[in-house]
Amino acid sequence: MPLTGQTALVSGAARGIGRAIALRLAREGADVALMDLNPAVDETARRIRALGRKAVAVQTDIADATAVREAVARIAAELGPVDLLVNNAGVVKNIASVEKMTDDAWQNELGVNLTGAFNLVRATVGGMAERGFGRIVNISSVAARGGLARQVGYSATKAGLLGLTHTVALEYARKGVTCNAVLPGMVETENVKAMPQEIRDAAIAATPVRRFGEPEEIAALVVFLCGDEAGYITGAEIDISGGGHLNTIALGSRKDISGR
Amino acid sequence: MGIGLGVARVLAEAGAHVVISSRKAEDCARIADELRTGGLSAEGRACHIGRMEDIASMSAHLKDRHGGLDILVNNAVLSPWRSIDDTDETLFMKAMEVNMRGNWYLSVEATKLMKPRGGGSIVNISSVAALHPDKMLALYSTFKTAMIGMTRSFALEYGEFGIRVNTILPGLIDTKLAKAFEGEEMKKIICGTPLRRIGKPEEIGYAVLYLSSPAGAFVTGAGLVIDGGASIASH
Repeated sequence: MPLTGQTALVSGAARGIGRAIALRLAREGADVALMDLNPAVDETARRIRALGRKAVAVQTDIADATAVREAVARIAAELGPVDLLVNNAGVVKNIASVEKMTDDAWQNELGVNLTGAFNLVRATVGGMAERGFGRIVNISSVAARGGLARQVGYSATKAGLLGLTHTVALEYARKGVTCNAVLPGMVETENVKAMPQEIRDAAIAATPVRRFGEPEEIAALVVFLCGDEAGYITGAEIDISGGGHLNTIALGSRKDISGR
Repeated sequence: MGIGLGVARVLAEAGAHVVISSRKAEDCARIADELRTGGLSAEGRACHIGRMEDIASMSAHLKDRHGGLDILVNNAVLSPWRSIDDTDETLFMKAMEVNMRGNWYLSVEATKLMKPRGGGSIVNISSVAALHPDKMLALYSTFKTAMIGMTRSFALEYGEFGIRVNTILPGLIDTKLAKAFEGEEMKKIICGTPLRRIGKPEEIGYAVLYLSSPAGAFVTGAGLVIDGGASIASH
């Protein structure tokens, strides 16, 4: 298996895209450390062990730099140093206009979505560089480029991840560490499945391939970026949205595309 | 080995039957022979994509002989080394016919062959020069940028037919073209590339394989930069 002998760390691995990524990395042979505040992260760990791989689940607030350092040390002791880091954890605390965005919600989204990713990179990249190999994949969003009405914290932090991606790629390429960003569109997670049907229908109509993505499809892209065959890709931003990131509002094409 | 052959080899090794296409029939036949000798499935068929009749004939061949098409890789390009002042209209039109019209209509033919199969994958090989143009390569850079627009428009219109269209933007890859850079110049390029090396043709092939396999089934309209980080380093 291509990732045998490697240790992966996935944040936000209790559910959705993070869980799919963690399971897929394990299927490819990696041992996987899982971080999430949701206790369901233990279930992901159980499923990884059932695949015959080692797993450690830690309930860590990734916005807390000290807690992240401690958790990474614990992971290193149990699984070995982290070779593959997937910054997937992301929260939306408040769906509100810019004016109504509360300080708490803004700080919380910034803390988890951006500071959390930074904390995890900082705690792991030095070891990767010393060993001469590492892969970092940041799960951004199509909202990083297009924005998202009433989710200013989410779209701003997801855009921030792109700057983090470029800089880490630049600083560590010579040390054998690549760093890339994945920008998913609508993906069939629990949250998206729970959206009102009329909103789902409209979003599907605005997606050229006429469906949402599956978490496993995001996981497949992450696995590709972690593998040897992607060794020349670094600092890249890859849309995975069924074409949903294309500007379907421009020149009236949204009307055409949803009118079919 | 050029990028086209690197891609062809990776796709053939993954089990695809590959139609090797280029301007000269003997080049196509030689490469196809080489792949077949290695136990791979390939055939050579000449097609000058600057000629509409060649595109029509390729399309008819794919339909009659293979019943359709699953993957199209638009890799052919004309890249004259010329300042803009020295670019006359004849050269412009020639570059336009290959780099723009050829890719466009080959893609249109491909969509006709893919629709009855419920979908397919078109991969346009653009270049980082589409984003950061090179002097003396204005025709190349300009039409490589056009490829990004073409990719996005085709992705939008053909998504509902299961046809996915993506573009790869390679940096400097170890091909005949790269041999033009020697000594100090190559050293400078490598120093400006965070990964400190140029790419290999098969590394573009692996990305085409990912984009065209079920693993990439939700990826369309995307642009994938494969340049060892060079474009984030210099701009």
